[in-house]
Amino acid sequence: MKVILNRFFLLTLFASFSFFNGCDELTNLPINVPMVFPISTSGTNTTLTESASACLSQFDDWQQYQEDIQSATFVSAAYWTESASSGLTGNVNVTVSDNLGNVLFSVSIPNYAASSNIDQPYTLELTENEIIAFNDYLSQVGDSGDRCFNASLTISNITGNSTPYSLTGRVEVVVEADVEL
Amino acid sequence: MKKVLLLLFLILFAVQVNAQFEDRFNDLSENLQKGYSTPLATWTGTYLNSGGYYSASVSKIFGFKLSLVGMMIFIPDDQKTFKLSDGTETATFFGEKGAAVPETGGYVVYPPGINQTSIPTGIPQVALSTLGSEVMLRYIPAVDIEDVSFDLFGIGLKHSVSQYIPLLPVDIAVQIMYNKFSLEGPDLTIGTSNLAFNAHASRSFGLLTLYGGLQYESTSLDIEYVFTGTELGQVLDDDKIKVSLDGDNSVRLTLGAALRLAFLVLNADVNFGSQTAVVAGLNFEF
Repeated sequence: MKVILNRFFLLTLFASFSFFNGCDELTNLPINVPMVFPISTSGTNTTLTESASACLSQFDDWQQYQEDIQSATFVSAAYWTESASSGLTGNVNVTVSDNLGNVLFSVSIPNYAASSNIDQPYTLELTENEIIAFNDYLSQVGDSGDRCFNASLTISNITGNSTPYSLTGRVEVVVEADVEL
Repeated sequence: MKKVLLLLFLILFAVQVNAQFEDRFNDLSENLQKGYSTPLATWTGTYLNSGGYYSASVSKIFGFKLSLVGMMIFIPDDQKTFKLSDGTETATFFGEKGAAVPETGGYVVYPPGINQTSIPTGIPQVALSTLGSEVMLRYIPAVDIEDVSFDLFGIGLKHSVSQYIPLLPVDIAVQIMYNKFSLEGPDLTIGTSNLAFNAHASRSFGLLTLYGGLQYESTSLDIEYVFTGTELGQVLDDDKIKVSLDGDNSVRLTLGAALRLAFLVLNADVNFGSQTAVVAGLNFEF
């Protein structure tokens, strides 16, 4: 009896909905996926460089919906210093390339005082062309289901209170995945 | 949690829910939840406080109505986003894209919304009237789908005022309604209670009745969920937090018309409030 009543009320509700059938169809959901590139470098030279690679499929949010992702586009990118040797200052450059080494974007932060900006995000402003290049590289993601990137961090004209100089940071790039429901 | 949201969508929007939506929803602290879900609270109030009348005439002997009320609720653009503490705009429950904001610990990504500007829904109700008063009842007993259940209860009391004023060219009545709806699952509980008071008037021209009214209403929405974010809130047992929201719906103006065909009455009205609702009813009246 309870089952019958439950189904009656459900049917009544859905019959009520039948008055209107013109609601906006929800077919896709935009999901932000942050890619993280942890980079650490040290040495006594006044120019240090290091890089890290990552593929979208390594990140949980991407993995979970990989089969239903129709497309992806660039949203935002930023750099953080996690730790630095005392008084470390220099010209920082963050470059992100595709898996073949083609530069997608390159952003410089002149006279960057790393040790004074621990955990402070520095938003990387891309040019319009760089955003287009990044999105072009992402545009085929629906076919392969994955894209791999290389992020390199270079700090030049280093000054600091002591050697060896060291810098640990990370680059994060957020892409928006269009997930088909 | 996923099943509760699935049921909510199944009932209210008939769409598929995405699991990441639920993951991001659980990360929202109390303050962020208020920004994200207040339009949802307003929507539940607009929904449950609609469809209470289509005529101010109340039977003095005996009357019975069985109604199937459908409605389309329109979400205004300013309720599709809300501002974070740094001024960045991100989606509300009805918005589209969640923001990605760089903070000290990395990017914080906020949940997307369902990107809907119009939501259809409906409700069944019965009413009995006598001696110039009418009692309306809405009731859906607990419906269980897997480990999620929902139920609805509403009651309204209407009284004819014009019966005391002979020769008045219009019928006038006052009405008070109380509706509550709850959705419960293993990781999420949503409950809403709504109170409305209105005065409405109608006049018949043959088969056609024109009606309108002014309604004051309030809505409160309680959401209890397992909090997976990092900002402290009012933590209950099992890491659950409870957020209580008030809807922005407070006043509405209703204008409508009803067509009486023997015992069948078709009505339609527009409700102007925080969210606009277009209501249509199929009523069997004896």
